[in-house]
Amino acid sequence: MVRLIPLKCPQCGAKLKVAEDDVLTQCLHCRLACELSGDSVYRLDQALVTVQGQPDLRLPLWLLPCQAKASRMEARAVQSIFQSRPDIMTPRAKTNRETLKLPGRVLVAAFGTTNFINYTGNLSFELTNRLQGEVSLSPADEGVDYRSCRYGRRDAQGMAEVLLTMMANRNSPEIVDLDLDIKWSQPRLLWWPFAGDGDCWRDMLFGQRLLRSALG
Amino acid sequence: MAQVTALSCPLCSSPLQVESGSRLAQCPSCQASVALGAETGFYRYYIEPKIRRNAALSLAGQTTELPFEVIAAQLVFVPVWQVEAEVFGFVGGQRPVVEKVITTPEDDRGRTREVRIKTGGEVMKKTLWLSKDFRKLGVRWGELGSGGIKQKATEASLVPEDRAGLSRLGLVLEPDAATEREVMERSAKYFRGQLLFPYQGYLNLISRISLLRQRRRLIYYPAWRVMGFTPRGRHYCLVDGVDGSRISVNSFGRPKVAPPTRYLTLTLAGALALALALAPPELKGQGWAALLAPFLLAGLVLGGSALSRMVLERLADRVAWLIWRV
Repeated sequence: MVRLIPLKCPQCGAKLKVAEDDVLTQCLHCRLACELSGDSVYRLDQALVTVQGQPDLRLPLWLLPCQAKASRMEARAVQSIFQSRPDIMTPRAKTNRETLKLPGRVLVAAFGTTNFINYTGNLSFELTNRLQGEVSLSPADEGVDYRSCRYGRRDAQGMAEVLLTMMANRNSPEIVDLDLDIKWSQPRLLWWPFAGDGDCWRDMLFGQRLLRSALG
Repeated sequence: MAQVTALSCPLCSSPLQVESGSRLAQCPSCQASVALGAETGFYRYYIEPKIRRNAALSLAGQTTELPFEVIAAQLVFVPVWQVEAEVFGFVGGQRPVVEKVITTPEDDRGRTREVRIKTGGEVMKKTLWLSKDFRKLGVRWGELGSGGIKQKATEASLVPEDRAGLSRLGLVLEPDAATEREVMERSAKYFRGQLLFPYQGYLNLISRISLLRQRRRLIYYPAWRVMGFTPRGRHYCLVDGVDGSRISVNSFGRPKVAPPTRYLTLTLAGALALALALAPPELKGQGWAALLAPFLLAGLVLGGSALSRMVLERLADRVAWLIWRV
């Protein structure tokens, strides 16, 4: 027989109404926000990022606190194209584990875009780079669109691993190959404020832009 | 064709509605959403057969111009693995160095020079993204051909599989050596290959990939296996259970009877002559029949081995034919 698991609210046990591609949902009975992963339902830890002024749009980003260490690292120096003579040695790479700087938290865009690299990958990379100190948060209310969330916490962790590798390479002139040992802490979904700016949405904290049509 | 999956809501027992390939079922009565359980992360579905038995026999008969006598037709469900994912990765490396030789235009004295130029060597560090679909047949079976089923299985309407019900419809082939873990490893290798393919030949190439929004499925695809005879011998045919197309056709001619070889004849004649020469006088007195008996037995055994294949096959064919007629 096919195993059937009714989806229920982890707080009040009420039935949940979920569509096929939904990642987030809200209990219609107790208003608890939940995250769906396979046949499991998790209580969602979420918050609004508060800024001066009223945002026109709020988009979801996963804030993933983590302790990342390089369990294996190999920096490869860039070869010169003029290095045809064997007596010219390839320069030694300077990057090592001590100089490798990895952030303690990663911001990952959880919404879907028509151009993943430009508007999901690059935006996550830029926001993580600029994130310093604490952002001002307030409890999430009704004014968010749960259906705009496309990637769950597991996907976010996978994206964060790629972004951490990318950051290690961007901070180094060499090509850095590394295996990461990451300890994840409890993730939180932040509803990031955006304001309309012509045919773009502009991030109200760091000024990153996102084409309106990219949200599909 | 009878539907094997009649899912009912675990809360109110009303019939559930499931969209093709969905991981969720909706109850129209109590408005509950119900998740379908996935064994080891793979959701199991089947494709409902559209071709009935008589149609399959007729289609199989069209695969040969000779009179075709069917002895058996069986519906089999062929397993197909599918992993859908978005691949997000980082790639770093150095563009390969290419050396070109360029001939300069003629100068005022009509001379030209050859100049060697090296290009490439730029460092590339970039993120990549693509959406891909990995498919693999779950069984190694030569009659399935090169993989048309893999393509069709992912495009048809998928119904949640109920193993007990499906086995009542036909023979369900369980995936063989390829376990779920092996499929995951192979799919990861495939996705990595797809992402890194344009960067073959780069120096110091490194990469890290993550698979996002993975959908793992095991799909059972229906096919009719029709077996029978033509005047030339056995004729097997595999017919697609959804669109009736021909997947494969195999014909085996009847084996020809090999006459006793001259070596066998010579051996027997030599043995007989030797026996006649060495036989004791008292045995010779008992008559030729007693003398020839052991050699006749040996000849039967040796000759029988040459004929056994033909005899056994004809016998098996005949028995199968008789059973079918009965």
